[in-house]
Amino acid sequence: MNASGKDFDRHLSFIRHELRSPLNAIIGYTEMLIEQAEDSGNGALIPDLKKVHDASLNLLERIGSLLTFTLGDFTQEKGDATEPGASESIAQTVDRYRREQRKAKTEAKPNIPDLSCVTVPNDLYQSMQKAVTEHNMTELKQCLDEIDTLGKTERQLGACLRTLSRTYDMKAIADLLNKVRHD
Amino acid sequence: MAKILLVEDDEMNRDMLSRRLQRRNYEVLIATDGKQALEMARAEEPRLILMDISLPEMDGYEATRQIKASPETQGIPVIALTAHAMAGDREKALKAGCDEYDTKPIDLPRLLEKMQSLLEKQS
Repeated sequence: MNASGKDFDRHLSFIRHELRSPLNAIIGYTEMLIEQAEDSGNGALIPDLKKVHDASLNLLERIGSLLTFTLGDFTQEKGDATEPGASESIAQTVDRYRREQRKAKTEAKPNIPDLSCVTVPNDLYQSMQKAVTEHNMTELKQCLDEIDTLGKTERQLGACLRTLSRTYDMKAIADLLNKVRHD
Repeated sequence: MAKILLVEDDEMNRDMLSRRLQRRNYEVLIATDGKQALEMARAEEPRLILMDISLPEMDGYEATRQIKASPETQGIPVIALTAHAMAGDREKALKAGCDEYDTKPIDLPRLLEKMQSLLEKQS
């Protein structure tokens, strides 16, 4: 890797550190508040604190995904000794991230169960629709956990929705939900 | 109550981790850079050091190397803490003389387990 490549890697490493440090503090403080709420019996705060915690972990994961692609990855992938300049690489990083996201979506081929055999309770169905509309992944995850307690076919639906939720493909989730029977 | 030296330059992470450790009955001393860590390790003789790696003045690797090179402090176990979590970080930390390595965000039960294991070995 040439000098500009190393500079770019160092720059990414610096950004990653600068973004992660305050986020680590948020995660740690939230865990501390959850512990204190548990100890003091103030359980009403815990669900919301857990949402903050989940959202922070989610953000941390995104920072990791976006900033893990370094110039070294590009040159390794390309298999040649030609390295682009750092400014060009930033655009490539973003482009690569987007390509990876698209690829992940394409690869996420969930097994869609026979929806004619699936019935979801109305309140759960409404909660899922609301979670999808609001892009509330924590709420959606809770709904999917609830689906797991239903029948075998419903669990298959849950697994399918879970696969789609990993790539934040809310449109696909909404489309699938629209086909689900509920009562 | 075990005396721990926490070396961390980020104010919020320092406050957060020290409070969580104090809640678990650890006595927590604070150093904010590598040089201060060396001085406090000599003066305070903590039973264990939690060493952030990205530090101003002298980084955590160098501070650990010097702690392990000094007869007065080389017996103090050091756990490296890093937010980078890059391949090679662990090896680099162990090569510098750290006894253990952990990543941020801190998984407190995991860190406490590592601390406890090193403290038990020591006693």
